[in-house]
Amino acid sequence: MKRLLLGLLALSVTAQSPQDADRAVEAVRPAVLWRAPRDLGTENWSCGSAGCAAAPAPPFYFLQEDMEGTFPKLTVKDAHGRSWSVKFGGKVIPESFCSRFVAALGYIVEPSYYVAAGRLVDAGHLHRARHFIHADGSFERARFQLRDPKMEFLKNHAWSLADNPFRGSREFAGLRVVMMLLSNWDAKDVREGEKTANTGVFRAPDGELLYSFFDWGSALGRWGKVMRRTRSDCSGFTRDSPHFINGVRGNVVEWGYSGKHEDDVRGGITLDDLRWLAPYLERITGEEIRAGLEASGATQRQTACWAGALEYRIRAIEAVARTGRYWR
Amino acid sequence: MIARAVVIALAVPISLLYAQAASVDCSRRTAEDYVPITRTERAANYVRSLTGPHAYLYAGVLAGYDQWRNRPKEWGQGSLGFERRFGNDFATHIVTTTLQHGFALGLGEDNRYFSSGAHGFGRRLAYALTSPLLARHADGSRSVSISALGGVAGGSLIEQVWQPRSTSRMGNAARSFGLTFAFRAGLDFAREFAPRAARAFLR
Repeated sequence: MKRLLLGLLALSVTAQSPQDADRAVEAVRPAVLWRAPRDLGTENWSCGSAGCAAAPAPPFYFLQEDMEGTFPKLTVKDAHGRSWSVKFGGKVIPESFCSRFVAALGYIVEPSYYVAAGRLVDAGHLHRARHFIHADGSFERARFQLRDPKMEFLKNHAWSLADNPFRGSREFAGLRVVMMLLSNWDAKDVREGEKTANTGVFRAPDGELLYSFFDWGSALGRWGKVMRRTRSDCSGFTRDSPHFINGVRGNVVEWGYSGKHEDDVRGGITLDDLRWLAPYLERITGEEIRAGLEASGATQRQTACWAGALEYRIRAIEAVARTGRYWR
Repeated sequence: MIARAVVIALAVPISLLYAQAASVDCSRRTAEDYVPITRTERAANYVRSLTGPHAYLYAGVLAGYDQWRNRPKEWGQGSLGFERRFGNDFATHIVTTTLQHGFALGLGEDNRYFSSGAHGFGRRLAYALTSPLLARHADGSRSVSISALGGVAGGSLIEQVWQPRSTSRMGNAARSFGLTFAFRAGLDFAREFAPRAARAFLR
C-alpha cells in the first residue's frame, strides 16, 4: 500500500499536460521579439507591410463570423484563396496604420490592409457584423488582416508583459515605448486570459517562435482608463501629445501614458532604451506616416492631426534620447 | 549651453505640432471621427451622463427656471424651494438618462455629440440644434433618435408621479419634454461653438 502511494505521488510530480510538454519542447527553440527592420518604403506604407502584391483581392467569399472578442469580425477568402480576418468600426484605422508602423520598427505583427469598399459573396446569416454588411453583401471601411498559413498562431501561448523571455531587453523596452507612442491602452496579456490576451506567439516555418503584441486596434486615441480612453480619435491623440513624456528622473523616463497594466508598460524605461529606439524612429519619415495614414482610411484632416502629433512624439523621444533631459 | 540646445531642439517639434493644429482643427472630435460605440463605452457614457457636470447644469438651469416661474407653487420659494426643484429635476434626469441609454443599447443607437466639422455659422447652427433629435448608427448614418425621444418622454411621464397637485398633469409632462430638448439643444450649441477650455466641461 505504501509502495502504491509512493508510486502515485511520483507520477503526480512527473506527469505533464500535453500543453506543458509543448512548452518544454518550445523552450529550446529561439524566441524572437524583434528583427532589424528593413526599410518599408513609401510604397509599402501606402499598400501594407507585406507589400502591394499581398493586398486582399476581390471577390471576397464569406467563410464565417467570429464571435470572440468585443468587435464584429468575419473570416473571408479572397480571389487568391488567402484567408483574411475582417473587422469593422473603430479598430479599422488604428490596426491598418499601426501594423505598418510596428513592422517598420522591426516588431512582429500580421499585415493589415484597409479596404475602402467591397462586396462579400455568400454572406450568411450575420449576428454582430450585420450592422456593417448591406443586404447585397457590400461593405465599406474594413480592416483585412492576413491569416498567413506560414505563420502558425500557437494557441494557449499568450505571454505576460510582466514576465517574458525579453524582460529587461532593449527590444522589449522599445515595444513598450511604441505602445505608448501610439497610445495603445489595451495592453491585455495572459493575465486577462488566453482568449482575450493581445499577446501571442507565432511559429515561423524555420521553427522560430515569434513573440507578438498583435492587437493595435485600441490605439491612436486618448490613453487612460475606462472613463477617459478613446480609440481612433485624432483630436484626443493630439491633445494627449504634450503629456507624452512627463520628464526624466535619473536615468528613467517618466510617461504620461495610462491604460491596462500601465506599470508594466511605462515602468523602468531608461534613456539608453530610448537611445536604442530613436535611430529606428528617425528612419520613418513624415511622408511615410502620411502615406500610411491615408492608406489606412484617414481623412485629410485626420492625417494632418495624427501625423503632426506622431512627429511631435517622435521628436520628443529623439530630443530626450539626445540630451537626457526634457522640458515640455 | 546644453539647456539652450534642448530648448531649441524642443521648440521645433512643439512649433510643428501647433503649426499643424493651426492649419486644421485637431482640438475637437468631429463627425468624420465617428467610430461605433462599444458596450464599455456605452457604460462609461452612461455614468458620465449621470454624474458629469452637465447633469448638474441641467438640474440647476431647470430648477432656476421653475423657481423664477414659481412652479410648482407648493414647493415655495427660497433655498428650500430651490432644493426641491433641483432634486426633482435631477431625479428626472436620472430616469430619463437610464431609459434613453437602455433604449439606445437595444436599438443600436448612439446619442453622443460630435462637432459638425462644417464651415459656416448657419450649417453649424442647424447641425447643433437638430442633434438632440438625431442618433448615429454603427455605419455612421443619422436618423431620428427613438431612444432620445422615448427616454425623455418616459422620464417626463414618470416625473408626474411625485409632482404636487398643481403640476401633476399631462400638460406638465409635455412641458418637461420640451424643456429637456431645449436644454439639450442649448448644450449642443455650446458644444459646437464654445471655446476649447469650456468644451472639456461640456463633454
